[in-house]
This record gives sequence, C-alpha cells and structure tokens, in this order.
Amino acid sequence: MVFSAEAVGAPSANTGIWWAPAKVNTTESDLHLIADMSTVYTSPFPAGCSPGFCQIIDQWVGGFIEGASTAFTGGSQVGADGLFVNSPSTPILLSNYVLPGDAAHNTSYPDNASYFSAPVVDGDGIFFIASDPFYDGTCAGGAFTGVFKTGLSGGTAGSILNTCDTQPNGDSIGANSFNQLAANEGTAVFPVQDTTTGNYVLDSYVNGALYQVLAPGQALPSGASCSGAYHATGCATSISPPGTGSINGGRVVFGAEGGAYWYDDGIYVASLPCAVSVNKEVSVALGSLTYDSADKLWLQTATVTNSGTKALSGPLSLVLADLTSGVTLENPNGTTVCFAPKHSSYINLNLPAGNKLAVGSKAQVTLAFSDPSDASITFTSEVASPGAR
Amino acid sequence: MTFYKIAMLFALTGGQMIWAQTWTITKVVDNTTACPGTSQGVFNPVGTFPAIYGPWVVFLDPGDDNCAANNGPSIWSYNLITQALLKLVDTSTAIPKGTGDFEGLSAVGSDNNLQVNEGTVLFYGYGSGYNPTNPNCSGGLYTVSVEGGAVYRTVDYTMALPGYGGSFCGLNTSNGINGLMGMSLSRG
Repeated sequence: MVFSAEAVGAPSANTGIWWAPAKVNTTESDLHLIADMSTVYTSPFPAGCSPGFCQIIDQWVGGFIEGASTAFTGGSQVGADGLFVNSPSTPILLSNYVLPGDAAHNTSYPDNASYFSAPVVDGDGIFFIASDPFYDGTCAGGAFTGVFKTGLSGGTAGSILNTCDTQPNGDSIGANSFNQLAANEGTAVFPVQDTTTGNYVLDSYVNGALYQVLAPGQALPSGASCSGAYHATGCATSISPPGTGSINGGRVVFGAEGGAYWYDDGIYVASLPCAVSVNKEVSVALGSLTYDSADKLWLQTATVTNSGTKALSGPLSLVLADLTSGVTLENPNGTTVCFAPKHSSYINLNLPAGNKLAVGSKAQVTLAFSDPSDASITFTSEVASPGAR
Repeated sequence: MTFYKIAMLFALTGGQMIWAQTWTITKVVDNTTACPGTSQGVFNPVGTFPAIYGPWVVFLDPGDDNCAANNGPSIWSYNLITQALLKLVDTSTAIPKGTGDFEGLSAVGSDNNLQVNEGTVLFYGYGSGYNPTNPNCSGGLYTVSVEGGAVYRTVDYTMALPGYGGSFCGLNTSNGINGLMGMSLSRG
C-alpha cells in the first residue's frame, strides 16, 4: 500500500510518499521511498530557463495505487505543479497544461496555472481533480475547478464536469465543488455545489454519462416520500462525499444525515443496476498455466473475443465462477455481490480507446493464482457487462 | 435492509450530458441499528469514514454509543451479501509491535476514508506511545482482514522512513485531500 506521510528527526521536517507491504508486520527494510523532499523534478519553467534557474517540484503528496500504477502529485513553493505516475521524474501533466474548459492561462503565470490533486488510477486511466488558481474567467464567480480524466501516459485530459458547466436543471456549479473524488471501473463520484439551492449534491459520471446520486431533500432508503423536504423522517439533509476508498464494483458507500432533527445519521450504499452476462456475445480462450516460482503464483492468460454482431461497451469483467476451493485469484479487481454466483472474484478487461470491444476484437488479461494445496485450478468464465458486479 | 429506488429524471440540457438517476440506495446502518454483541449499544455513524470492496463495507464508529470496549471507537465490517456485522478493532485490541491497546482509531487520509482492498482494511491507530523527541508524533498505519483476526503494523512512529530521513510522524494531511491513500496488494 502507498502512504503519504510526514517525518521528523531529519535535518528539517520531511513529507513524502512511501510504499510498504500490507498484511504483514513490517520492519524498516520493508518501507520504500517513492518521493520525498530529497526528490527533485526540475521543470522546464519558465520557458527557456537555464539550469539552476528552473522551477523545481519537491513537495510530493497523495498517492493512489492500482495494479502496477501509482499516481501522485508534486508541487513547489514557486508554482510548478504536476501529475505523476510511478516515477517522480516523468510527469504526465504539468501546470502549463490548459485544462479543458479553462480559459487561457493568465499571462503572468502561464506555466503555473493548473494544479492537480486526488489522482485515482482506474485501469488504463486516471481520474483527478484540477483547478486554475489564476483563472481569469467568469465561471463560478471566478473559480475554475473540476474533475478530469487522462490516460496513464497523460499529455491531454478530458473534462468530466467543471465549474463552467451547468447542472442539467440549469443551476450553475459553485466554486466549492469537486473537493473530493472517488473513482473505479469507469465511474467517478464527486460533490457538486448547486449555487441556486446552496446544496452540496452527490453526482456521478458513469461511462460517459452524468447522473445524480443523491441530493438533500431526497429520500434515503426508508421509503419516505420527501417531496424536497429537508427535515423529515427518511429525507437527506446533508451528504458526506465519499473518498477514494468508497467505491468499488459499481457501488458507492457514503454517510448522510437526515431526519426531522438532523441527527438521523446513517451509512448508505448506492448501487448501479447489476451487470448481466454477455457470454453469448463473446468467446473466452484460456492459455496454459505457467508457474512463477519467484512469486509462487500460477499465471494464465485469458483472451476474450467479441464474437457477436455489435460492439460491446465497457467496462467488461471476466468473472471466475466456481473457482477451485482453496485457490485464490491474487490480482482481482473485486468480488461479485449481485452477479451470480455471488462472491466470485473478477478481473476487468483492458479495452481499447473508446472503452469498447469491437466485433472481432480481443482483450487479454493475465490471471495470477495462489494455490497452496496444489489443487487443479478450474473455473467457469463469465463475462459481465457494465453495471454493479 | 430497506431498498428505495430514486427515479427522478432530469431534462437533458445540452452537450452530450445525460442526467438521470440510476442508483439504488441501500441502508447499511444508522443510529437505530443495534451493535452486535451489546445489550444497549446502537451505532453512532457520524464521521464514519466508510469504504467498500466487493461485498464488504467497512466503517469507523466514533464511540460514545456503547458499541465497543471502553465506550470508545471501533472499526466494523458489514457484508452486503450475508448482512453480517463484525467488529474488527476497538480499544481493547493490542497494538501490533507496539505497547498496550489502541486508544484512538481514525481514517487514513484527509479525504476521511478507511481503505479496504481485497479483503484487507487499512486504518490509522494510536496508543500511549509517542516519539520522545516530538510528542505530537504517535500512532501508525495498520491492516486487518474484513473477517477480523490479526492486526498488522504497516508503519508506526518508531520506524525510520527511507529517503531524506526522519521517522514516521503521521499522515500528510497538510494539503487538503492530497493526504489520500491507495492500497493494492500487487506490490506486497
């Protein structure tokens, strides 16, 4: 796991990002540096700067790991900022990048006008929050911030929702929106300030479409008919935005307050409609099992081919139904809750750009199994459509 | 559990945006839910820092509700399939590689989350120990299975961090939500 921490006892206070194994009692030799204040990235800013006079990035925060990818951000005292994946020497976006939807950067700070935070790795993409601290436009009373998505290699990004957009009911989006982000399997959830109602609502982006999850005045699962009532039994009064650990497999968990007296506090799970099997539209070919003696894992390649007559939209997951007892898939993306058989491990397919598997196209994943009892590794392949797993 | 489907449909307002509600909301616990293993406790899910992985929802109960030892904080898991609630850690849990029991529990990032991944929960905890040269530095990061059992130390205030130097003092929460964590077992 990755952690962002403060350290004391060095010549000066230190902050940085480290990783360590989970599920074991670690010793100091198990702790590994990703970046701290001894790690310096020299930016190309200001343009044409001479060595020794370029802005440096040496303040490292955040850190989100999924699979082999760890995303984090770096900043500095003088304005350079960046979004990084795996290495502090190779930013995938820097603060001179003009975010989609943003106005042209302020001419006094052209290289320092995009700040990045809260990157979340999601397959071959990264969701993140970004803002322009020197925004010259008129959106949100002069504030530009939003949720964006880029690839693991960065370069460019797409806007999911930002303060220059409007909510579909015509209400504008306030400057205090997007202060938290949860994302997984093509779905992102974030709080949005509705400037007309003054409410903080919970919105979502699900595979290219925007949906509202919940707003104050709407019913929580008590069956109450709220009709916009804020202080009534079973009605939400305020919603705590979910953080990075609050989303998985098409479900989001969050806290909410409500009721007639505010303090009917609860924890709720919002679920997308359950995925369905698309087995009739695909074929799954399994390679032979090979043993990785270093990691003590059995590896197997699974190739999913769209054998149907239309493209399949992602995310698509390979569900390992009825996996041999005692055998564990060690690189799953989750465990099914509603997709039968329940409690099956699944792994997401890496789909091409556009998040679709075209007719005749293939997607390949490597399955990694632990098999301490050396049992025969068998399972039934099921391919799940978009939706809750 | 009670299920309620929000079915409000908003108008399409331009661009490619579609705005409709497709989420079904389910209650996990609220302040009427009895704490298992207690005679009079009910959860106090304020500031609960919930996280989810597969069927497991993990949350922190802040205490003062007779749900756990010493009326203190506790961390629970809830299985969406079996609907079973299980207490994972409270202030009667011994600190692994530490001294005494946990005295406080919290989330691991300033985005106010616990973390759970592949059945392993990550949380921040502290006890009576602290860095003798800096009493503000105490506690550490720990993991426990969603099914309970042994608690493991990932890092604590006694451990030197590689790099520039110094020992672990606490989570970096100085920059808004950037204190967030991610966890994966792929490197462990």
